[in-house]
Amino acid sequence: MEDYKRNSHTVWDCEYRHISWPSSDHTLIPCDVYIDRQVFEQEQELIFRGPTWHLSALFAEIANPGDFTSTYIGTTPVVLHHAHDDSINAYVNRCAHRGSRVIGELRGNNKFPICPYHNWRYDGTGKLLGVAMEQGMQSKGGYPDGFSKDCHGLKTLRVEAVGDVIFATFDSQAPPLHDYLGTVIVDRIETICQRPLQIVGYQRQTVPCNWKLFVENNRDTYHGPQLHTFVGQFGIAMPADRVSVDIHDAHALLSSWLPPSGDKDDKNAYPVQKGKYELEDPSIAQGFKALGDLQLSVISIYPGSLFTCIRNSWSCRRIIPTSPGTTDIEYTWFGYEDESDFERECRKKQSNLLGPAGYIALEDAEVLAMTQNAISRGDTSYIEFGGTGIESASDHFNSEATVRAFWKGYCETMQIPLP
Amino acid sequence: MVQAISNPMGTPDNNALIERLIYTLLDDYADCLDSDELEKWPELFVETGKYFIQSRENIEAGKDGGYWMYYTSQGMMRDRVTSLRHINTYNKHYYRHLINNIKIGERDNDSFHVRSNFLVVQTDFEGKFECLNAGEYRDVILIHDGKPRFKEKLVIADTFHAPSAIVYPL
Repeated sequence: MEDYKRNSHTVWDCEYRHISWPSSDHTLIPCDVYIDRQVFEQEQELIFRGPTWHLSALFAEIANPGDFTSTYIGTTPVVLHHAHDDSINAYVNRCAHRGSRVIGELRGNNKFPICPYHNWRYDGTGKLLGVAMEQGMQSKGGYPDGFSKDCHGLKTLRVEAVGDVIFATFDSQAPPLHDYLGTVIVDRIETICQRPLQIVGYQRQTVPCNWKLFVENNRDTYHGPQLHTFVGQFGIAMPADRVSVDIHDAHALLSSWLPPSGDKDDKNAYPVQKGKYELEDPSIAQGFKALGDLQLSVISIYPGSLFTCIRNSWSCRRIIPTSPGTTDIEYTWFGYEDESDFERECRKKQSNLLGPAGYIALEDAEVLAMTQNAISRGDTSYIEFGGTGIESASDHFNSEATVRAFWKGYCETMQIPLP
Repeated sequence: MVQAISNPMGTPDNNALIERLIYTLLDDYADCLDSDELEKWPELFVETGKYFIQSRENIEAGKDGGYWMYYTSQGMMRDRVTSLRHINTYNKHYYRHLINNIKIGERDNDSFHVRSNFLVVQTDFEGKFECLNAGEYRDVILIHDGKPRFKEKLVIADTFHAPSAIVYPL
């Protein structure tokens, strides 16, 4: 206890003195942060309910007044609600009275938030409209004279959008969404949202690993060719004219472009790798150009949002920590409202690559489970591929800079003192 | 036993034969997945056969997308087997299927609409057990020359939140 008092009063020092941060350049990570319950709780407070933005819904999910959809930000249940005054609202799915859920469905329309426990009723903005027995019965009981319904609304979040993508934050001090994401990511989301989006379907999955392992994985450009050999072994890899990695604060945008039309059949300039195996039905590799030559766009938004367009397989994913060792993934698959049946069919076939059973995503889930399973206290993770820097790259994927960027942001939000 | 929603063949003998063939196909389906004879799985389908796994969430939301598996030919199914056998990285695991409540419905020439309930439990490489999925099969089964095969198999996953990766077909 004496030791404890002598230390500077950052949260990290006070709460987790058993975990020391080994390097200031984020090349070494103490693996205790993947398994520690106290760290997990502190992340909820400082990161998920802190000054961060979370991709919470696509506008198409709640396009009409009255539409709502349920999700989580961290462990907190949240509802996105398109109210009848046409405002888009986010509120905590917890009654202001005694805390039961006020929305008990994944999604719907024209249902007001009502608590089943004591019948407190709200509108789609979270405002308390009425409570049961406000005046008591026969002048007995009820709420005192000073009771104001205006003071007992649902806890609301700040909501902002880029294109058709709706984000929410618990923190009124969080920077404006555009500043938070940075110009390059905002531009990319707006490019993808150039035509109205339509929801294609939903998927949900638990991955038995810490949420940070999942986030690292989806922005890690090192593992792709090593772990995911499906595309290469079947000889359906698409040639890339160029690739880039854009890092803004703790966010990462990975991009890849096809050779310009006309050049792509030039077998000398872009030799096609022959696979070891041949697809019996190559229609899974059939696609169309929806974004010009841009063929891959993975936006990993700190802390737990993913917006990915991989060929024609387009989805956003919410990464939801449920315990130190488990993470829920909520996929929303989308396309354009006005696309052809052929284009939609391509999307459905290419969706075989991701999701719980996806050729690529199943491997990530399996490897992350094995990683989580192998962690013991005191272990360290080593992240020095591509050096120690955290810089964007305009011509290669051969660096773990995006992962180091995550940890830099993590240490800042968690107020972790660096050595 | 089978609840005959309609009486496809009229005569009890033929009805019993049809029942037996349909039961055999469902048994073979479970057996090849449970005994790691994946290569037999596509062969239970006709060449243009379809195999879909769709979540009950998407069915209820009226979404024709977000399939866990979306295979529109026997070739695509064979590709899945090739990939699982030679390409994909995953942990060894075992399935066990329990299929019941088989209902033979409408007949359409040589094809029968058949619904059944399933439960798939998975045992992992360390012997630990989990309920991987519960749901319903909606099958269109062709009986040709006395041989039953799937024209279409739609797996509706009630457990639409997958508890872990889905490696083999359900």
